[in-house]
Amino acid sequence: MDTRMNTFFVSEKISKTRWLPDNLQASERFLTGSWDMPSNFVRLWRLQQNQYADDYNEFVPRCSDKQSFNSDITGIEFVTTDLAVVSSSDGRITIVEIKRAVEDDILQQNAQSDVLHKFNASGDAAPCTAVSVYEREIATVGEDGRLNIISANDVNQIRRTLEADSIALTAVKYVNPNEVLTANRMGVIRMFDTRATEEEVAVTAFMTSCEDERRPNYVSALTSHPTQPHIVLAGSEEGSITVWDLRQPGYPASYLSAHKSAITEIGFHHREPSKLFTASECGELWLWQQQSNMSITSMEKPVAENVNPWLNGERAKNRINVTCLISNLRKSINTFDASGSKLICGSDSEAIYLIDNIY
Amino acid sequence: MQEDQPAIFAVVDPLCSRYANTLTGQFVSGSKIALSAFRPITSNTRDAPTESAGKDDVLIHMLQPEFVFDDPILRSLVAEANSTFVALQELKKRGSKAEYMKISRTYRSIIRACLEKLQDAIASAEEAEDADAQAKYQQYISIFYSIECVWHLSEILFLDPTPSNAVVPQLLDWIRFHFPASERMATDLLLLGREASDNDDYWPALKGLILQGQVDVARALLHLHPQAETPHFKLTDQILKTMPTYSMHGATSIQKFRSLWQYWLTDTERKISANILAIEPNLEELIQLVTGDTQMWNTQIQETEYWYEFFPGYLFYTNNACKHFELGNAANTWLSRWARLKGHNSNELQMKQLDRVILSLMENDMHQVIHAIQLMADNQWFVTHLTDLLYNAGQLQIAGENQVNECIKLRDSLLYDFGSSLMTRNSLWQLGMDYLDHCGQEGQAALALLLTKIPFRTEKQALKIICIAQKKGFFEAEQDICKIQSKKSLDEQRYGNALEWAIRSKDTLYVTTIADFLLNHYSKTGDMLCPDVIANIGAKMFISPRLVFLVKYFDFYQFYRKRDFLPAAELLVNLLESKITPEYFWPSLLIDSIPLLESKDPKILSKETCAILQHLETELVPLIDKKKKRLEKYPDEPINILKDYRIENIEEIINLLRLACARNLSRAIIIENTVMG
Repeated sequence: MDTRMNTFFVSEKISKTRWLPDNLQASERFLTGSWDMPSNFVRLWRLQQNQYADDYNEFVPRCSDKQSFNSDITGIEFVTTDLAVVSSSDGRITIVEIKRAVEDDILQQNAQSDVLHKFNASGDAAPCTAVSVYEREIATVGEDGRLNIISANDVNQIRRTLEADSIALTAVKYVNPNEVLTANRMGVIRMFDTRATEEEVAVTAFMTSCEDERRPNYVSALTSHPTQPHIVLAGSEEGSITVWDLRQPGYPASYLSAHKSAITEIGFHHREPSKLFTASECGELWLWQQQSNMSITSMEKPVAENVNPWLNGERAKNRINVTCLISNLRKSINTFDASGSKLICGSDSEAIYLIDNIY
Repeated sequence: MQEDQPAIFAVVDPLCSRYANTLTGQFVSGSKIALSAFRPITSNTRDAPTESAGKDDVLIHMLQPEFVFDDPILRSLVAEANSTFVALQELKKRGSKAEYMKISRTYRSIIRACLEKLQDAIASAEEAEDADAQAKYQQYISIFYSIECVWHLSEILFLDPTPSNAVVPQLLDWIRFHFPASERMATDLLLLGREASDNDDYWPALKGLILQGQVDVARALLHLHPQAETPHFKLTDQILKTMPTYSMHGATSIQKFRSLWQYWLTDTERKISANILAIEPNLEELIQLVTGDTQMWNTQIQETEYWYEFFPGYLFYTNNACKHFELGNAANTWLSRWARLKGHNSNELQMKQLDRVILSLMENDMHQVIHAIQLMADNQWFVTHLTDLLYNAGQLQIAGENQVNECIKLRDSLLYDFGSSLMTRNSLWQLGMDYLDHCGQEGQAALALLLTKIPFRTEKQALKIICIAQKKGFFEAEQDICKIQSKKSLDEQRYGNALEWAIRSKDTLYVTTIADFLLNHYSKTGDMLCPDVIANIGAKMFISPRLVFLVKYFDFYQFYRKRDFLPAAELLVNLLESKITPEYFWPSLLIDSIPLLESKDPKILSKETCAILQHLETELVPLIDKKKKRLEKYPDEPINILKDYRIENIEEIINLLRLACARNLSRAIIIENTVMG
């Protein structure tokens, strides 16, 4: 594999980055959100052909527009191709709209919610820690342990609010229109049925595996398989990945030890579900690739081949190749997003990295 | 050189100057100073409110040095240089010369890129008619331009010594880089080709090139002249072509070179005095410069702004084989000549800082260089990185008592200061860490302390800091942060969250306190707080016996609520046996056993019943007796014993329990023996 990496220093610690969805061609625009800065911004970038074309930097990102936020950006997800929801650590979500233009794209704020997450005793705002989107529904979780379901059409109308946990929630993910997973700082993942009434919310809970049961191990990242959403992958504080089949959530289907420190984001390639990426706190970015051609002499039974390799338990490792795309960055890679042949990632080193040719 | 005066800052605060008041100050985090009005107090001062108490506002002034790296453009300089800095440390002082040169060039290209961005920023500030921003960026440019200039010269003198130790060719490069005007003109002219000589810039460009020692380019320009084939031009070209140069690699011996040079010089001077070139004054002027003609150079000197502008060129024609150690003398001679011609009295010569640094560098006076570059308004960025680079490359020479030690001390203290100043600037802490990480034990200790001082607002940030503390093995820092988080959660009445943070802190006492709180709350209200957390503690409970008790009791409580009495009874008996029951929980625990004992079909076997009875008599009863005695002794104490239980209630409970045990025992014995039979 011939991958190329370009580094661009942006003077901001990046907490989230997302490609703009583009239906037909490879996306050239992306959003970034910053954290822990004197003033935080969501910026809209566009890749431009490098005028001083050397072999080194084929593309150069240029910031077209920005929106200022007064707290850390904790999540960015797209609702439609031009609308994105941004969650921030003041407990609010904001809908931003991207107006594409030939020259300079425009980023504007469409709506901002009231404080969705707050601590009961003091009434102070609690950070909203993650956001997940299904069609026009938005699920947010916060340090107050609350799960909110909001419609993208009116962010001030909370459709559902659940006291999901008594400790801070770290991640949220829709697995289907009605079921939402939340993960907390103890490593417990719960599944909520958003249709059920308050009394009968049946909760399925399962715990991430950990090398040493006595060590705390929070869920740091959560995702589900794009085509088989019952497969759920969670990255944890110790750097391992635990996989569940939601049809049998009682025990984890696989447990893979990976990075040496917390996994900051875990996610599949937008269009190719055979590729998974993980980023870690110690500055690593790995590509996990399903081996496509099983040899005939393989010991695997034909049945096993139909099973998604992620559910293969110990054998999963034999059917998945791991490639290290970035290593030794030393500063946390907080986020990445892969679309088409390009992957963009943001880091605490105040730079964004563009990796081309991830095929 | 003038002595540096301490800087004086005025603070406007009427209270400070009134009465006998003065000002007091104290360092708060990092380089911040808090100042306030103050009156000196001695042992015989009367302890009374001051006459101004309550009348005037007492002001606290926060002072901190200007910090340039908040600007996004300069911030990216810090971030980029940081990764180069780390790459340098990874060479572990064992890198090759080429590697250190590469690092030095990377640093310089970072500064260059930054200067370019600053130029752009000025342009856009001009467009926006923002005079303040323009002035600010202009100031940054002058700071970082000087830095680049000094860095380049240091690189030449210290990192890239030629085998023969000759410095002139590299000095020419340096000066060409920083005074690029004539080279730029020459490039444009060369593109014009044959028409170049008609241009007004033609002769000034040629002269500029000669003054900078760029003989080859000058010859190329001369060839463009329509009269290039005339004898005069040919002769000039011949003179320039035959000029001997001292090889950087020391292929010719210095004596041989000197005699070659002398021969060529005499020959050329002879030609000039024969007025061969008199009809082409432009050419004659060039050749006079080449021969180092004093009068000619003096005329040129008067047009310069910087003392070092023509110095390398002059050196090139007069002392081509000049070695590094001779440079200082040559520079001083040149400087006094320059000063005299410019009409300065050399004693009171007002040199700009950059001029002085360059002189010190040429004199190889590192003390003075470091002292001077510390005063640059770049928050010590330059001095730290340059010193560190020279140190790593083994080129830092500070004459002290003990050379090696002095260098490492200087370098460490610079890293320490720079690192801690970044660490205390809220969002730059991640970059600051790397500097503290590489300056010995003091740096490590400061890092451990400063990590806990980073103001974090979200748990995510707290977890990030903890991750770092874990990796570095700063157990106390990790524990501190966890405990702060736990305390915060307690204040918010988020008990589950508090408990989890407490478990993370690995502080047994702290965990016990929170577990106690939860048990107490339960025994008072019958309401178990944060059941979801307790249910998931798992193996982490072993950090504190009290937490083990809480978790096990919670399991019992769950079985009981599900009416799963047999495992509930077993757990209860285990708990009774376990010896980890807190004193205040005994009544609660024993009361819990009453319904199990009173069940029609026995849930507790005879042996276990005996055990319960035994605990009742040997643990709870003596406990109560003890409390009773204490009550008799101190009748004023609150009548409650064991927290919420009044003495009368307790005795009733004990009696109830005894009765229940007896009845269960009778039933159990009958059934057990029947089954056995």
